[in-house]
Amino acid sequence: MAHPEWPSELPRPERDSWQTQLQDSRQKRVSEAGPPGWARRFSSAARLVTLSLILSRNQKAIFDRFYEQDCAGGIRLFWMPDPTTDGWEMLSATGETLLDGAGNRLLLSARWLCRFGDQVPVESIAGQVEFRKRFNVVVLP
Amino acid sequence: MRRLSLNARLALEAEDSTELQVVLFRIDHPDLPAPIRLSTDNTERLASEPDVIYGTRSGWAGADPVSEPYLWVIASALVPSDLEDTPAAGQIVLEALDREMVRLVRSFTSRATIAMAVVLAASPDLVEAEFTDMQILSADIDAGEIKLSFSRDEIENEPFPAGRMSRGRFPGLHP
Repeated sequence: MAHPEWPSELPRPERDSWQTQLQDSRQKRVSEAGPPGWARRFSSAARLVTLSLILSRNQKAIFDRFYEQDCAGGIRLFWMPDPTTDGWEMLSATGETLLDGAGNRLLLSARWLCRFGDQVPVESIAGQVEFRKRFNVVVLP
Repeated sequence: MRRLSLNARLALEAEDSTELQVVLFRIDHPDLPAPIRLSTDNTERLASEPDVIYGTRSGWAGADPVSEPYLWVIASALVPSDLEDTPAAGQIVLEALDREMVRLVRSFTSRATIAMAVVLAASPDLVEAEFTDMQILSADIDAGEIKLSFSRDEIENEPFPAGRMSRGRFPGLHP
């Protein structure tokens, strides 16, 4: 069965709470004296991403249905567009937008294979009638 | 003395080595349609759907790196030691993640042949150490892990001469 896709109706995550951390793929060289050292332990490390979304009532329903049904209560893997890459403009080293022959902007595209992390979605009220969902996902290498 | 590649020797002696040692397994059994190929490192993602599969692509033991990769299992491996006058013996400890694994291990009575090789993740075709033609002799299974021990055939335990002076064969000896 194909993995479910992240609903395209949901907005991009908030800036303030965005946090990403790599899984530690190193092995520490233990020594009683002297500086510590590291060796590699495995090749592909996962990434833990903490994010939050501001959702309208309709979007909250979409998110809840995605979590409960499509992901079977946060169990299944899913595809999610990388919020820090997907849809961003491709820039040159000096920050200028790269264009194709017809003058259209070139956009980056990337998607993650994810799974919900330890923190199940936490819901709180933000603003007038909006909901903030905080959760973390594990991005598979 | 075991011969190692220059890269492996440099990696062993370097202060901070970026090389990663990977143990590859190949398990053969007459009942298996194709050998089981296992790796201890999730070098790359081989498939995303329907199941996520990681593995190492290596040409060791005649495998086609494209179609016959070594699949990653959560396992720790003890490679056979260099001791003299003892048969090569090693262990793999597999995390028992699924009841099917236990069922498979218990499903046969004849011995499976196992070969293992140590490679570097950066050069998976270059074999640094290789142990072949060993047999899986025992499988200790508990709730969390499956410990497969392998060595050569235990020829020390075979009776010699073949006939034993038992009551069934030599009743005159047992009045």
